[in-house]
Amino acid sequence: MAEHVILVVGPMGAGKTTAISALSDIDTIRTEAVNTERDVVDKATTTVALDYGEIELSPNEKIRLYGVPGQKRFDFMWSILKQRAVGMIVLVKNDAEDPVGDLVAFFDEFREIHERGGVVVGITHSDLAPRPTTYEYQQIVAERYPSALAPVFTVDPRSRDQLVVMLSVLAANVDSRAMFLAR
Amino acid sequence: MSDAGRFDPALVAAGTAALDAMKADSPGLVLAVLISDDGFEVVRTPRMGEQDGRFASMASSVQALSEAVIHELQIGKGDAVIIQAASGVVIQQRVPGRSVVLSALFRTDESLGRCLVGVRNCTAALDAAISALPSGSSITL
Ligand SMILES: Nc1nc2c(ncn2[C@@H]2O[C@H](COP(=O)(O)OP(=O)(O)O)[C@@H](O)[C@H]2O)c(=O)[nH]1
Ligand SMILES: [Mg+2]
Repeated sequence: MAEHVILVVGPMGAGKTTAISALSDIDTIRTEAVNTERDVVDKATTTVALDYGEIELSPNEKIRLYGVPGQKRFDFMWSILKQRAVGMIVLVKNDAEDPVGDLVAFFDEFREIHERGGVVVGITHSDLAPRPTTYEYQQIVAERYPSALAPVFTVDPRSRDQLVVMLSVLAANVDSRAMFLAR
Repeated sequence: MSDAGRFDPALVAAGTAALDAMKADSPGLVLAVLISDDGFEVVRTPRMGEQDGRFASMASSVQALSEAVIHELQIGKGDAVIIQAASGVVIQQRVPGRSVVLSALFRTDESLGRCLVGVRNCTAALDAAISALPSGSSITL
């Protein structure tokens, strides 16, 4: 069975932990801590090491999902988790102060993953902030990271169905890239 | 960078007193840091030294991963996390039921048992001090 390690990255509050819980077939491993930065993102807990979940996309394709902490002060966890991943989902919180800046920061930080594997972008919280639009994100990605060929989705991390579509596209991209590189 | 400003001054004062008492009792103590659950430094002893917050963040990740392992293996209530290296021992312990964690680095000439007792006494003192704070109930899990 093909197994892929996929990271879910993005800023605090984007919905990484929510997405991994919604997607996973198993009870997720969580490392939630009491959030003392309610002024930054108003939620009770925040991830301080990782989230872990697994999903069988099809009978012969298993995905291991790792979520990272969103805050830069945990970037040592980013370095650890980066190593084995072949693809990543970048979740962008559309109602954040600078969502485009967040997208660019995570694309830059995790460059090695989209250079060797695949990447998809999921725009969350667009029910609360409709702009920037997916078109605007597509333009930025095409300009700055042309070789990443990153599809951009609007996604609600509480919806397993929406996430599965996005993850399936990512898995297909990763497989295509691997086949291309093997030639 | 110290994050003390983000915490209740009464918590910082209680933490300072508890850490200083541990330092006085444990000659082998190199560094002790009280951190919030989400990886911010509340107070440290000695007061100077590297303060970019990196150790506090790592300690919070280590604590959370250790507690995830305890949960996964269903081995009961967590006690201490021990990281033993050639020239130092790090011992971490959550203040019981509270959203703060003590992380302490000892020299290896201090016996592990003594280190553990020092950390346990300190977290017990912290628990009592936090219980007495007006803001104590907000520093819970
Ligand atoms: N309204 C709205 N809420 C969302 C959306 N996506 C996630 N959330 C909520 O935002 C919070 C995200 O928290 P979390 O998953 O911990 O974010 P993380 O820091 O990226 O792991 C949760 O309370 C979700 O229920 C969305 O698209 N719309
Ligand atoms: Mg999270």
